[in-house]
Amino acid sequence: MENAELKSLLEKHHQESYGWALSCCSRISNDAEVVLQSVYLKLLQGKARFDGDSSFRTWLFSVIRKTAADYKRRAILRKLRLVKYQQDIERLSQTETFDSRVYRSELQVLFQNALLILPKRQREVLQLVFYHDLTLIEAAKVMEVSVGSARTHYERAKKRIREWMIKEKAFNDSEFEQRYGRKENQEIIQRDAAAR
Amino acid sequence: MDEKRIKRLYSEMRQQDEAATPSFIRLLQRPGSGSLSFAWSSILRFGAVAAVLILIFSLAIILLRHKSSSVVSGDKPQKPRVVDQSSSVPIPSVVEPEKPRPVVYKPKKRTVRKSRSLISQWKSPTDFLLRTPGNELFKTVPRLIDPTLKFNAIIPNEKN
Repeated sequence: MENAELKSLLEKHHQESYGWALSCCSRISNDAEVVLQSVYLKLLQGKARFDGDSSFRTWLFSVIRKTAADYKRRAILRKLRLVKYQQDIERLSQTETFDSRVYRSELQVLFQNALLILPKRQREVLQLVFYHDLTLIEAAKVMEVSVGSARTHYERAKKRIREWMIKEKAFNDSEFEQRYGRKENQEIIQRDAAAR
Repeated sequence: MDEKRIKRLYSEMRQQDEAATPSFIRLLQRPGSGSLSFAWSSILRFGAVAAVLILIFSLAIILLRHKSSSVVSGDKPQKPRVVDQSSSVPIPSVVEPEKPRPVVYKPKKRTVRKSRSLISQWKSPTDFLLRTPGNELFKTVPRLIDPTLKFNAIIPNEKN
């Protein structure tokens, strides 16, 4: 695969890649950007090559997942660096403003917090299936686990989210309707269908 | 139903993420591109610092040892002075405390010959406990007095 072709493919999947990187980095935007940038550089420099065994998106997601894991592993060394202070400043500058936090729905914040409590594998499988519309087989490939294992993680994750919903009273049907009115509901359904 | 609800939440999250996604070009040209390769540089830095510290520490130990050995060879233990009691000079009542002697490290001389002789001459320190009265009888052969005379009378010869 040529560099220009690869670049266009990366650009095509950029938004999804960013979402996946965010999920792998516990939704810290600065870390996600660093990870995604190093993934792109790694691919463009030919350090990782697509062999065509799976779809490009699945392969790209697995590269992002590995890079994010590597990034986390090196977090201890990173903390020892003298430039930590500088990084903290950068991170602070990129954190959400009060307005944007208000803009985000309260329920969404609660949901994201609930996701962070989930075990890593369960969080990953939910993200891949519901956010990126991957099948369980594709999700298993990205996560480098068997399909059976991925299915188990998926079921457990759903169960835990359901429990969270009951505990937090996140949704009763009337609230759900209120939040997602029919028009908006239809838009989401249409968008999901188009994504598939 | 739950799946639908989870899907909705994820859709909302996705919309938010899409709005906050930095552009592809901006991300590629972001400063600090080698941020993941820092680990190697920091490892090297820490390694260099550790090596320097080890070098300084070992040099300090060597210098200290050298210094202590030179002090031992230079200072000879002074003999206690004999005080002449017949002299008229009064003896001070307070005795000066002796200066602590430097510890002399003398490596033991171990020669092969000496160790061999020591092994051959070695005896158990509790060996005497095994000695019983009349023990010599078991270690020596009893001597007969004039055995030939007596036996000649018994042993038959040609004349008999």
